[in-house]
Amino acid sequence: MTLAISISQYIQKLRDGEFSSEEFIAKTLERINKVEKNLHAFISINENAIEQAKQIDKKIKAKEKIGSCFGMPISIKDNICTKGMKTTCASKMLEDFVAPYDATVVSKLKSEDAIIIGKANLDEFAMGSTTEYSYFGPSRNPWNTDYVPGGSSGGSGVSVSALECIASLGSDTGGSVRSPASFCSVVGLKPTYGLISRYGLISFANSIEQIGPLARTVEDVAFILNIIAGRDSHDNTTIENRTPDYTKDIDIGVSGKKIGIISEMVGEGVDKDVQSATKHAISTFEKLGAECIPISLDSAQHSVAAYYTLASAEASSNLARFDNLRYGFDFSVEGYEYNSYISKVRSNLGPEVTRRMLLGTFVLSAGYYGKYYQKAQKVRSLIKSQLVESFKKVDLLLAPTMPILPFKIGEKIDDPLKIYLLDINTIIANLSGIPAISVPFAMADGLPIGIQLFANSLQEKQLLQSAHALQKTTKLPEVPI
Amino acid sequence: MVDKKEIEHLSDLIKIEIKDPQKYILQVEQILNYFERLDKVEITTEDLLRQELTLDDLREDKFVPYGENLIEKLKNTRENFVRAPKMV
Repeated sequence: MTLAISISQYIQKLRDGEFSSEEFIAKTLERINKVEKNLHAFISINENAIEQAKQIDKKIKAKEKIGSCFGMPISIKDNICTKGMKTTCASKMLEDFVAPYDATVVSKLKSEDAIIIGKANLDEFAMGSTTEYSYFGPSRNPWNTDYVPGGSSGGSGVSVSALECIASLGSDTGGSVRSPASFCSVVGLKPTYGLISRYGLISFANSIEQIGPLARTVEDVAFILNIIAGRDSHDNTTIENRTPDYTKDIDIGVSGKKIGIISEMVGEGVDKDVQSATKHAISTFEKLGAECIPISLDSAQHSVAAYYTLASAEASSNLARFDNLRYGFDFSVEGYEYNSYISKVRSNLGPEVTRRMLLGTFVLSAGYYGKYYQKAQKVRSLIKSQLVESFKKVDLLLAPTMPILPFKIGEKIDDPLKIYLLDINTIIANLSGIPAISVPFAMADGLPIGIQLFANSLQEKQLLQSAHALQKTTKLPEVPI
Repeated sequence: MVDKKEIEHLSDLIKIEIKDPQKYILQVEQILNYFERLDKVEITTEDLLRQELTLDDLREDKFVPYGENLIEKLKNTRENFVRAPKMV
């Protein structure tokens, strides 16, 4: 039995009796046991997974109604609440937190008989682009374990790439699903803002972040999106008008489509291997019948400054709730005055979280609000309006997901601004709310390169169809671990 | 622009004890310097991106009991209260 199969293959093989859910889960756990010491994709593993698989097998045997996931193993980023399992946000502040309820996305997956195989590692509170800021230690890239897997949903990217699950849910605030997708050679989707419920996602920057699926194929991502998309009364920012079926007509191709190549994202500052992979992707699309034209998006050069201003401001407000009183790590209140207790326990927040809270508080403070926060909001509107204009001329936009190849763990950790600038190609989707997808497309020096496509709001179907067409042309090596 | 006093003031506001403010001075200053570019962007529009909700979009303001005693799940409780440090 191989674990390197797609969702549709999993369902087919399970139905054909080639394996049971229990056998597949057992094999997955065996795989996790084998590779985790090198990869560290997970913070915790579901100890009841085998038992849950047995229950699902029983239902299948008894010909009871069965959910569309048929007991397949899915990992969940550890900032998404799972009832009865720890949800730590990779922070000491939540190291013992067990959520009393499931996030909407998790209950939707469970109701379709998915098995939550484990909780995936991340940068503390999803703040980072490399997964090095996890309190529990970094995840490692399965293509070369000396290298970062991207982030902040690094554990999600690693677990999918290294066959420790079939699919994963991450969250994308500035590229946090697409970055690990690109660095680990898997597919990652950041959907339209409001398409997927954030209920149960521990908030970092509410106006920007979205939960998104990662899987090995575009079709698998579409399958997961079918389950988790839609309006939720628990999250008033969710929107109507989802597409009924994202997998339908996924094979339709890109013939006649117009694709804009974002000029600012393919030139200066982009690694030469990434540049040549991008050129190759453009010519592939042209061969498939699409027309590619350059599109300028000059506001994108301000996106990093606007994004980190807004995200830090929202983070500094959101993280105020972590006072270690209602939940948190073991630290007695005896002998402390209120403020000194809170300051003391919060000194356990990691350096990146502290930095963002300092920045967020600074940009919101009197005298600086107009200069930073308000200006960032206006830049955000400018980016959105330039994107709206672009989508009058083209159906999709294209750029490399990451401007550089994966790099060594520790290489950039002392230069936070350098790490922020890695998000330069992904952030525009978050600031404007449009969907974007990263597709594994090439390899250079044994390291993956992802190509990113953007579409207008709620155009996920078109986005997935085009990404699928691109992925079908690729023949990438198997993960070496 | 950013000095030790500023970092200490901010750490006081965000209630995080920072053992080594020196470590943050340079990084925060460098990042804020980068943010300065926002001030130079020419923007003519006053429009801000926002999602508008009407009252009809909101769910009914109705009490739905959770069904479990959540306070029991918290770590530092006595009777029906969360235990906290003294205010003064």
